[in-house]
Amino acid sequence: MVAFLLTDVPRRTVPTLVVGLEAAVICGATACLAALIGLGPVSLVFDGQGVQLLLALLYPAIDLTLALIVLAQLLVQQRDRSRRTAALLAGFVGLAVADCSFLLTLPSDRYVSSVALNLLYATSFAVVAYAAVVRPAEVGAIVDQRLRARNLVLAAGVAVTALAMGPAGPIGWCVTATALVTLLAAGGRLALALHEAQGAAEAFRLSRTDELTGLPNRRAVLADLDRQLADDRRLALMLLDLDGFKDINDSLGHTVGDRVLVLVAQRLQVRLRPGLAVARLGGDEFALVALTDDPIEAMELGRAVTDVLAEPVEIRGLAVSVSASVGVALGIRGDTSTDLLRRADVAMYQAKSTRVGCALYDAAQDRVTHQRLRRTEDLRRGIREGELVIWYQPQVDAATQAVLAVEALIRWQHPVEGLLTPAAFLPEARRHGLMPALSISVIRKVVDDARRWVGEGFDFRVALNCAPPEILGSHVIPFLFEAVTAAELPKDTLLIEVTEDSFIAEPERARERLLELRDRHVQTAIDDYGTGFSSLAYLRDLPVSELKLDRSFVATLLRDHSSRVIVETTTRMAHSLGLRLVAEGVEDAPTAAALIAMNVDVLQGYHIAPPMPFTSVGPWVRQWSAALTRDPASLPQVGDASSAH
Amino acid sequence: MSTGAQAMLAHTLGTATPASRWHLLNPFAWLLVLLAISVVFVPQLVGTIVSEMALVASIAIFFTALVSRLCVAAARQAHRRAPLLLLTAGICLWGVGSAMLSAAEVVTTVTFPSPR
Repeated sequence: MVAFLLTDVPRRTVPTLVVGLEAAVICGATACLAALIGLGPVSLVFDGQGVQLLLALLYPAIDLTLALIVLAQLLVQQRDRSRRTAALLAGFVGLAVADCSFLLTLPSDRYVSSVALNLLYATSFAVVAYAAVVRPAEVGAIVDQRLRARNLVLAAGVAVTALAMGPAGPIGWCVTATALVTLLAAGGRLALALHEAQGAAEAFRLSRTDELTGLPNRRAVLADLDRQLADDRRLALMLLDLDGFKDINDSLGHTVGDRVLVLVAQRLQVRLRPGLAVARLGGDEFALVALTDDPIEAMELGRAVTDVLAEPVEIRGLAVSVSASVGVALGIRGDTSTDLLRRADVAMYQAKSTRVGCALYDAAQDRVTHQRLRRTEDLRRGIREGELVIWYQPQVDAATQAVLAVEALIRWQHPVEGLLTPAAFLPEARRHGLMPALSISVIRKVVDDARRWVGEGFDFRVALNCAPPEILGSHVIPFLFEAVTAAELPKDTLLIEVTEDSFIAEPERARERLLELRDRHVQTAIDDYGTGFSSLAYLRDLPVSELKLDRSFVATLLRDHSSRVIVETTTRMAHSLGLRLVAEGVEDAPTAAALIAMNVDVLQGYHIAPPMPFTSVGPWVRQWSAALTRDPASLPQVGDASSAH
Repeated sequence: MSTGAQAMLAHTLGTATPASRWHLLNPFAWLLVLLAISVVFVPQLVGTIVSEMALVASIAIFFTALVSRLCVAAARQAHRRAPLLLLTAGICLWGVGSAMLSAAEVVTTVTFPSPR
């Protein structure tokens, strides 16, 4: 029977010490109880001792042992809590009761067949057999399921009672030993519980503390706010975001960035008035909670915070200036911490965007924020549902007027607001991390369109813009390579326009990425050239094919001598370096003529053609080429250099 | 038990609705038989040879059914065959021992359990 019980359970991992101790406590207490009310009285009817007594009690003892095995298996989760297990327990207990009854009613000289006893035996065996033939249910994974404390206390109480009663009789020492073992197991479990409690307390403390600064973290401040708001306490929440912290991290490294955060935290704790709770929410965001609902006082505190941070912090002999934007929100009856934090966030955003340093929550601004959030969600949906469309603006050779390329420009066909330009949605896309998805969507469409133009016999390049994070990131450019390979585009069909910002943070990585693009026969151009850092080292080191002069120089070319000089010298420099120079923003014939006179290579602008949808590009290029062949005079005048002087 | 043996056993007991056939060996069904025999016959014939025979017969039938049911379960549940056969052996040993003890009826002829 023991072999049956031990082999009829799934093989599981060894139970944890906690589970083992709990099982020992429960089983020990059960054994005490069984000995007290079962084996004890039975043993008193025998005169024998030692082995002789053991033999006399062997049957009920075996039955109880079997029941205890089942109970232990249940407690260590080798058996499930089911009727099957209950039947096994009931069957063995039934046999034990029958055996005890049999022994108690044993007359002096004969065994008597009792119908009731026979029925009890038969029923018990039937129940055990029932439990055995039922297919066991699948036992799930072991879960860290602890017994309720009251069960363990009750079990320990049984053991103490057994000891206190000091059971007499021949098996008294067995009961005492079992009770002692049970109490030892209970003591061990208690020690483990204390250890766990200490660990839990430490984990709780750590879970509410910011590791870097030692300040309370977001969880702690939210819990504290909720508690105070529930108590109807008057309070103001100030949300503080460091300005330009990313630049510190990028330029001086994360170690210095972390040190700045620690110093800021210390300064906020030491220099502000006592009673102001300071917490770090994460990144470069801090929260301060003041017990006031006076907007003037709260704003004064907010300004005090910005003043405290205005002094540079000194790190490794370097004075680092740290400024902050503070958003202030006052608690309102019925608020939750989330409501208050959201309002403070709106105010902080307002302070940052207007550069006022500290701003109080303004419900009107909240509506703008709502609109902004809605716009972001719309954009997310728009990207998913293909509402982004690509328009193309042609670029022509300044000398021959042949169409050399088209630049892909993104538009959003908003279902309600109509066609939106990038200025209406790209800032939100950047702010909310939608640029990778948006860039991938653009690349997919542009590569499709380029493939179709190649199929129609066109050989112009297709230029598309790529933001610095996407150039350096690990998703967009690999996707571009896959798309170009899948579309089997001819070499150099695509050109990626990148801005100079791409090279500031990680110049070496940017260079590697541009080399990778060149190796895959994707040309690159520096967009908006002349407005960024314009380091000549980039032109020397980076494998670019084209410089795209910023439209601000082109637009003022005719009336501003400096612009004219810049365009002329840049063009000469580009040619000397073997680069094409593209002038964008060519709005009229005199400008075009002046650019041609300066030997600019490529022209782009409304004077040539406005951006147009994909379906219009093919007909426009055919029409332009045909006119170029038949009647060049019918084209926009780009060669009238005299008008430029 | 091999698959062939299982098939033979199934053939012997019928294959149309094997589950219902196995159901006939449900120990509870035979427990009811035992109960019925005990209730109907024993009270009226207590102490007679008839009652003893009725009891012995019903216990024998019951244990036979019990062991058969366990054997069938062992045949049908290959992955639990060893545990089920161990249980069957245990019950058989208990049954045989109990029968021998009951048959002797005299305490002094046995030393287990130890009498007063």
